[in-house]
Amino acid sequence: MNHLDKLEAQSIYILREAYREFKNICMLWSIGKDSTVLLWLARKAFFGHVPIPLVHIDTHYKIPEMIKYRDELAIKWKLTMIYGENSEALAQKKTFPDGNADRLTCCQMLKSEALKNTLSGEWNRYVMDHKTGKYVVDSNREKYTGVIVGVRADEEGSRSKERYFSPRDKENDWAVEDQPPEFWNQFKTDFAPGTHIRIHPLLDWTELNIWEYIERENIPITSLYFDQGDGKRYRSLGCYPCTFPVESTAKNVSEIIEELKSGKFANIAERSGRAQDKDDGGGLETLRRGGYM
Amino acid sequence: MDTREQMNIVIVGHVDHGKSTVIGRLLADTGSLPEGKLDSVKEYCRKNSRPFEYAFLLDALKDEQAQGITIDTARCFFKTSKRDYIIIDAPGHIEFLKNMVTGASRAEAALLVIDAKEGIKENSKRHGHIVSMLGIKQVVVLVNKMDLVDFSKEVYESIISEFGEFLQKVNIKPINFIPISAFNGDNIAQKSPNTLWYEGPTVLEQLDGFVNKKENRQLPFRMPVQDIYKFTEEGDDR
Repeated sequence: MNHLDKLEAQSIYILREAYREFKNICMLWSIGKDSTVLLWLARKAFFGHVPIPLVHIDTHYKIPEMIKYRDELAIKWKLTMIYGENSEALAQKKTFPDGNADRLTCCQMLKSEALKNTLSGEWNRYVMDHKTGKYVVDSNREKYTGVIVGVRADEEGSRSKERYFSPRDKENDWAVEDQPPEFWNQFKTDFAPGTHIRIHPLLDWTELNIWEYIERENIPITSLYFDQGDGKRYRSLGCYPCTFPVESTAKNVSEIIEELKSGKFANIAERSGRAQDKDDGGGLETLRRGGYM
Repeated sequence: MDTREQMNIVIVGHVDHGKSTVIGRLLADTGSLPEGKLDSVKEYCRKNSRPFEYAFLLDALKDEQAQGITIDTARCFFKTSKRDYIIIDAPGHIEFLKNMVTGASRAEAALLVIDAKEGIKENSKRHGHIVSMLGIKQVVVLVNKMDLVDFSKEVYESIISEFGEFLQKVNIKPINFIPISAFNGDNIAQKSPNTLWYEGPTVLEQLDGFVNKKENRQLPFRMPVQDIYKFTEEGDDR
């Protein structure tokens, strides 16, 4: 087994543990490369089926190609595709691009708040109707108690301290100092009512591993990661007002791998194009304690 | 496709004996940090009127930096020409012991840090016990803060004899005792001119000297059954 086989096996093991333990479980799909790898792993874990609904939090400031790609793949792979949003903040224009909130507050409202209320079922969820390809209000409002997330430990300081199975309390808060122990492959999946568990199958993967795996498995990835001829590409995807492309002429996966291994990005952090991290004093801790992934 | 070997190493020991500093220094001296990371931590320390510490590279949480301690285990990714490592930085406080155990249960080898000046403390022993119970066979003791005892060979040797005796009781045979000063970089990535009497490897050389566990397929056969399910949608009758 090479290192990718081992990472794959461990992630699939975690996905199957999660599916067995939680009745109401969902997987967050940000449309980015990491959660798309996670989706690919789920298809492998369950022999081509994805028995877990995919949830996307739509801030309506996502790069438009992301939404198109999401819906195309949802149809092709027959996914239970759900999105949620903070319709109130959007209607009242309480956002950073509208000039009515700073970056952190905007993230908290459009992402963290929307996520919290979508997971709990308090706000509307919209599910894709595969007959029409359109989204309709989901009649299922049951709370998700298990949430699978594609964060990696190498991305940022607070993510380096996550467990594979990590509890969040009723308020969505993360008690970093009081996480349950995890021995070998034994995961604590039994928690108090009202809490939910975040499951992190990709914790041990690095950015480079993700790209090597995408290349090996030929996973379809949104073209935003590649240079379209203007010498720019995205290294990390988010909302367009706060995510900036990097100067790069990598046009395909193998050129990205080369760039990460020996080229100009070998020593530059992946999220350096994400403005909200800088507003949080160089990390994501404040946002993440409040429910950001 | 590159088929590099990967290995997990945990770093344990009593609080304030310098675990996070060892890793921080190792990352800095081998050029493993992202560009600008060292400068941004230095800038943070300057703004907050605090002395610079390599440990801040790892103790990323605001509570950790404010209190100057490690609260939860962190994974750091590090590579040498030989293989890729995940170095697991475990907390040394008694109240975070379960976080230390979580980190240690994932490791193939352990670096146990002891402060040369303070000597063997409660958690030096407790962590030794736990490493033994978890079945980690490869243990190296790092005798840290040698600069505070003038790089004295006598101090180093007294720790070898005292701690070696304890470790023997818990069935650990340390591969090595390395005299280091993590803060100043002695014997971390480069041999120190201050310990000419020491002929063993540096921490970096020691890492590559550890033996990785056998491939799963070389071990006795195990087949975990996680669950049984059947998906019949779309006419699938597998």
